[in-house]
Amino acid sequence: MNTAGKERTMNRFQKIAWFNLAVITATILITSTAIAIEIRMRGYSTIGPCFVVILALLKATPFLFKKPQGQSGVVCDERDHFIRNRAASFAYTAFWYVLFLFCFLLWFIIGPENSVPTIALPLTAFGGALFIKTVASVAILVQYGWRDKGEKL
Amino acid sequence: MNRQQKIAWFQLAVIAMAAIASAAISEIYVYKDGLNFSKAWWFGTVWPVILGIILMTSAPLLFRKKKGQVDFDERDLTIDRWAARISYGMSYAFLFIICMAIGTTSGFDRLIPTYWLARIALGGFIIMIAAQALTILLCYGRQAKHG
Repeated sequence: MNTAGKERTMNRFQKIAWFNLAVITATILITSTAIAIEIRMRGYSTIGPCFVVILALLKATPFLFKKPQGQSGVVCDERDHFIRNRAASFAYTAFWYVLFLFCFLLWFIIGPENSVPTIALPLTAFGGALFIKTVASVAILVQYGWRDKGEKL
Repeated sequence: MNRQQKIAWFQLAVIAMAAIASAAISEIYVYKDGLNFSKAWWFGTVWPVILGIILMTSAPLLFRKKKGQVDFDERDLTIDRWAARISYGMSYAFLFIICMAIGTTSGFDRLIPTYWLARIALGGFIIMIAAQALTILLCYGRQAKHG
């Protein structure tokens, strides 16, 4: 494929998707490592879970990946809208399937009369949001083809 | 009315009937069998909810597309997407609020029976269907418009 003279770059949504995946992966790795080290040293963990604040970076994407200003500032067409909508729809559908499986498997495995810690509920909601973000990002990247296709911004 | 509106009305009707049936059966369990409210509600909601979910999910099969006739254009697609987006948002908001409310009111160091998780998941699903049906009806204008 001849790409000489063409500016090969990912579009804004691909960059945001990669950024989201990187932040989520880094948060999971750093937090779990910190918790593991702390538990090994002290037997309990208080500082480790605080590393989830890294996820606040996910809210910074509008500032980090700004829409280009100027004459050639069109960054989103119908195909992009379609890809984003499909990714969001797929992510939410996958989330509800996983949630149903999780709740009913737990119900069947542990038994309806047995109990789970209450902290499992907020963790489910929080984990669900991360799951949706991850699946939506992967779905966006899959639909665009993971890498740049010589699109000009 | 077009097919989407018919399905939406049908789903809302099923939810309403399931809610009424659940309340009636729960009452019977409380006053006739002497069960406490929590248990009666659990037993009373099982069958109406299961039947309701089966009926709601099979609505597209009950209202089939007419062969050889275009009954879905871009406007319908936009409405469908809007409804899906709102329903997913509402159901996640419900899940988040319920989970946080239970956690903060009962304390994070307590235990909760596993059937509560199943109840929350079912509640979220019902809210998703209801929000989708309502959004479709509101977007189309609730009544037939030469459809």
